[in-house]
Amino acid sequence: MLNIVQLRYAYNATQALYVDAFHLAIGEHAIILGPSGCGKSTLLHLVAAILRLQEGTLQVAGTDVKSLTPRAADAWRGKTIGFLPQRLALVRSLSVRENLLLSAFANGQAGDVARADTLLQALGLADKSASKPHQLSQGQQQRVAIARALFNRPKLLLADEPTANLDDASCAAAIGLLTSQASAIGASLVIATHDARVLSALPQAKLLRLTVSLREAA
Amino acid sequence: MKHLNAITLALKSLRHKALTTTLNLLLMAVGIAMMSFVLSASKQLEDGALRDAEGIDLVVGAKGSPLQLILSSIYHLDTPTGNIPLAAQAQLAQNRLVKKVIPMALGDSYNGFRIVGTNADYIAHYHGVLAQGTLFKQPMQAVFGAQAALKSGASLGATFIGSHGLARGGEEHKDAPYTVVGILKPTGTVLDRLVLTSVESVWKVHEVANGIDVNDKEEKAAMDAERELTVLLVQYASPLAAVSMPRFVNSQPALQAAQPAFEAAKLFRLLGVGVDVLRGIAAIVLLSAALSMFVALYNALEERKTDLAIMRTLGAPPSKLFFLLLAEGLLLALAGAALGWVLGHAAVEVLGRVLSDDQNLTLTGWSFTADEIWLAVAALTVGLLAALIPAIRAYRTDIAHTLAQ
Repeated sequence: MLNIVQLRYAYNATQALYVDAFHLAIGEHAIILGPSGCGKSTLLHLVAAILRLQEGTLQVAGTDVKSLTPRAADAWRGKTIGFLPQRLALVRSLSVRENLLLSAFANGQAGDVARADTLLQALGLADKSASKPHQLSQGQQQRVAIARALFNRPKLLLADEPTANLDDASCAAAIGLLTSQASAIGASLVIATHDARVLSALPQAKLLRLTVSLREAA
Repeated sequence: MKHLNAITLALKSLRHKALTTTLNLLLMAVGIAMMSFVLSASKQLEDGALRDAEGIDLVVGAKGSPLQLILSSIYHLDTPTGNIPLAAQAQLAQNRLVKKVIPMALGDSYNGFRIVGTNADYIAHYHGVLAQGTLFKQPMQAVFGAQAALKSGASLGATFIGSHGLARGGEEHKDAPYTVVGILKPTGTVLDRLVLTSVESVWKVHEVANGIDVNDKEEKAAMDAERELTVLLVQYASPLAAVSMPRFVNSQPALQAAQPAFEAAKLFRLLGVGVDVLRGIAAIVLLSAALSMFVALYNALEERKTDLAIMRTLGAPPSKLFFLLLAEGLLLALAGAALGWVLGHAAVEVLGRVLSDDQNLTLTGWSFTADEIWLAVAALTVGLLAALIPAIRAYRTDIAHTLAQ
């Protein structure tokens, strides 16, 4: 599902992200662990082909990300990657259901309303489908963002600091929800976090530590 | 909304910022309303003026302002310059450069509609056709133009009394009542707003008013020698007449010639300044609409950066965001333009109704000119101008940077 070999990404002349090797099989989940600013988000963006790879090998779901042209990368990302940003980034002018359908629009597909309603039902948001994001609690907003990330049935679900603002109970619930939803569509889950609670909530996940990933460039 | 596309997304985003959207919509609407008002009203006035003056090459009247002569005799908007001797008609009719001479005796009105003493040629000149009754055959018979009949409620066989002067409230000629014998169909010309009778009727009214006994032969002969007309409408037999006729007429002490085409052009030049000023103001309003929309879209972009970034993350190519922003600007501009266009025509219609009480001008909101296509072009340009830079910025959204903030 994910194969990283000697990946190197330089931010500027002095700072760079480096991952020697990391492999994730289909159905396996992963945790990218490290303190703030160590390059976790950057790695997620590289995996999602949002940032362009500079050096090394990066294969995601059988595709060599480096080989994608920018336009092909957009289409590939829409089909392959589900992304849960830390800021959630729900569109305020759209209802909950429309936020889900936005995935289809962005990806150039007809909006499957039944799919949206099924997802909302599964995430316990069936009665909120017509609400606007600002009418929801933080936890509900996160579930909407998860539903949106799952909408296009991605092969890889990337979550950036999903537990940053949650208490212990909500943290366990969020991780549980992410794993069960990812497994339901056969997707691998990759969580980038600095939160040690995620480790205990997801003991079977493969771990990638980026503790010293900010290195002096050679 | 079950289906999302660039248009519905743009609409939702516009509705989300209802106040800003309404303000920009109104700004756009005011600009386009002014433009379409000016276009429609000036076109109608010009067309009407040209139609009324069509086929009349020269107006001969008493000495005075040529413009006043034209305004009083062709458009019936001003008071006449004075009277001319009856003999002038015969003198002009003999001239071989002249094809047609239509006499007119003006001075009285009924209910604000002018009573024009003339002959059947005048009605024929404007292609007047009877809707009911007959043309006037004897003195004191009158034929009403369509609008004059409608507004004054004239019906066949009814009698009425003309009042002196051209405004309401003049001295009434109670001793010489007219009878309505005919009503004309609408022609879309000045004819609709007139009460037509024979020249003799006008003479007779004033004889009675001056206490002259028509049965006294000596008095009658003296009167006949002093008969007067107000103006003569002249149609040339040959274009050559345009060179010599005005000079020939002006050389006579009692007569003054005015060329409708020339005077109308002068008038339009005067009005044109006003039209240009209105157009200029409208252009400034449109420009400020473009600026205001630009500022609104640009500022909204800052707030919507994450929206755009998440769409990219969900697989949208940059071009999709570009068109989304463009659609927003164009929708706003076109909706404002449509609103403004309706408002502009409504304003023309309102003005037409207000003015129709003064019987001066005919304006309708239902008259459309081909030039109005340019309003749509102007609206699209404004929308494009306003949305282009925000759209380019949307195109260049830096996803990683935005999401990492």
